[in-house]
Amino acid sequence: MNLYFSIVNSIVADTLKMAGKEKYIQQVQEFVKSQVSVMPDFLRFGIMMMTIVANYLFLFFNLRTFANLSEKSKRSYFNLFGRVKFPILSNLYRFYSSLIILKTLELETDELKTA
Amino acid sequence: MNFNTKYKAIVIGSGPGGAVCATLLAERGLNVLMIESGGNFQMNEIPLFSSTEMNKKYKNGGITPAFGNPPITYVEGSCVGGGSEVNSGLYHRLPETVLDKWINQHGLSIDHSFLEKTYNTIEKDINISYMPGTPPKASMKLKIGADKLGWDAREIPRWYKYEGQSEADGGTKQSMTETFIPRFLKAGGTLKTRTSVQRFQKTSAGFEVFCETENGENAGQKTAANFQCEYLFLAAGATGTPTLLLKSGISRRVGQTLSLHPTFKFSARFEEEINTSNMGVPVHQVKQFSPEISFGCSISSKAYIGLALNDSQNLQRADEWQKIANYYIMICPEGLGKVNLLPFFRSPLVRFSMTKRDQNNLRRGYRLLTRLLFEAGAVELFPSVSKPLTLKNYKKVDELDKLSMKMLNLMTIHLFCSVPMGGSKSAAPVNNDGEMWDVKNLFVVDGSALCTSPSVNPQGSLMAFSMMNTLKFLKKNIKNEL
Repeated sequence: MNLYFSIVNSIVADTLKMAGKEKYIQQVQEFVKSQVSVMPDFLRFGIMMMTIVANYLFLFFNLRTFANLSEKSKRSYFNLFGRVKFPILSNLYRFYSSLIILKTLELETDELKTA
Repeated sequence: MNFNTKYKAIVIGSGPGGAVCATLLAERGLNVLMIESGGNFQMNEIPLFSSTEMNKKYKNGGITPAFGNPPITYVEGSCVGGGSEVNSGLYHRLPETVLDKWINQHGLSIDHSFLEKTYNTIEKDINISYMPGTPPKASMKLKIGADKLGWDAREIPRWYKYEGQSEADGGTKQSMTETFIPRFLKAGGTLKTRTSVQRFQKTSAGFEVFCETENGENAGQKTAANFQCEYLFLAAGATGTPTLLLKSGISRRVGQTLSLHPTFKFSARFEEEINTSNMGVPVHQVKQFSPEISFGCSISSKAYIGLALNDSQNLQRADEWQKIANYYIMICPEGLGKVNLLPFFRSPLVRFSMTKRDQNNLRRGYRLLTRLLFEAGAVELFPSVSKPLTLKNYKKVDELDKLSMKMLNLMTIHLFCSVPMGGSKSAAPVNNDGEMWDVKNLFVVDGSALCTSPSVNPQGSLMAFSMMNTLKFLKKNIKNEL
């Protein structure tokens, strides 16, 4: 569980850094974690396993896990998963990006309302 | 708080079906326990249509797919008040054509004057009314486009109460926590929240219900709690009710006829601003092609627009959200789904298969909606597909036809019919009065019991059938005991 959440935290942090929205990292990480903890158990099991396997899959190509890739490499992989249909990887990308986008845009809107 | 363990009736689920049933039972003086797996939140405690609402009030945080080709993401409420707390509050009676089908093809016996009286009572109870003032601009775009094409577009009434007479008065949704739940508690009913029913068992005296309840002081810790009752009413939702029946060993025709409304969305950008941060819920629907196909405008906060734009790789356009709104096509399918248990897991596996006709209706639907939105002044449409795609004119809709069905990202908020009523034991698991054919004194009073897709938002229909069947139960079983 700890390994899984460390990978997820890294995905959230990198995605938000790339978008220049570092200030939301902690809140978005908490949201993703709370969503993962309430999702259907078989789906949570599947997503956790796929995320961990996908993280280590990059050892074969880059000699590093996905979480340890450089920011530039991660950015190009994120773009690739978003545009090209790779089974599993594209689904994982869509799953995490949806949660990150939803929470980030909501935080931005709330900030504008209170400003 | 200490809870008794013996009740005359237990209602599992506090959504529109369960709340109506439990309230009528309690108001007749029965000792009633209503069990809800989610938490109890006041209407304004959590912002509507927010990520917090998704996490706290939706079943499984809203991350619930019905597997199939294509898969369909669905959401169900999971809190006191159930779906009524999280939906848009658009109200419909069951269309006559659908009711006729239930009578002629499913053998349902309906007393039309009783049904009419029930509708009237419910509409008064939850204050069915039209929005005061002018509807939101994004909603009016549907009306404008439909008028240009000569199509039927209308404002749909909602269960809302407005203090003022202008659009500035956002109103208060008359969900179950605002209407039936307070009545239930006032009548002496007992509500147990954050308690999930694992299964139940028939006993000589009635039923034994086995639950797990969350420990208030230690979130995440659960303790076992058992309750007994003479009559058991199931209202745990279209996936929850069959799951509970299957876990309790009741499986004949259970969970094999799930239906839902497959829904496909577009984000439409206009030249002028049509969206604001306090736009609320759009109220128009296009009914020209119903019951097969309906169009509407959905929640269009910046976050929801961003989510929709991300699908078609157009997230960068989210900054123009004030010119963008989300629109949907909803079809009434003939395909069916299944709810099955999975070994080693608690959550059920939900599947749904669209037929060729359903797929054709969906494709016809997005062509029609595309035409309407361009007529209404849209300059760009961003369909919810897993591919970079922007439609800049009506001819570009051909690009959508080239995509396979699994490239279309479908969702739904309407699920039903997983444990349907029917006039004969061989055809349906539940009889005309909502009672299981195979188990005496066990009733289904939620959307699961609807015979087929109602083709419209189902809350009005399921509340009416829950009320009718509870009144029939009281007349038949309780009258002489009180």
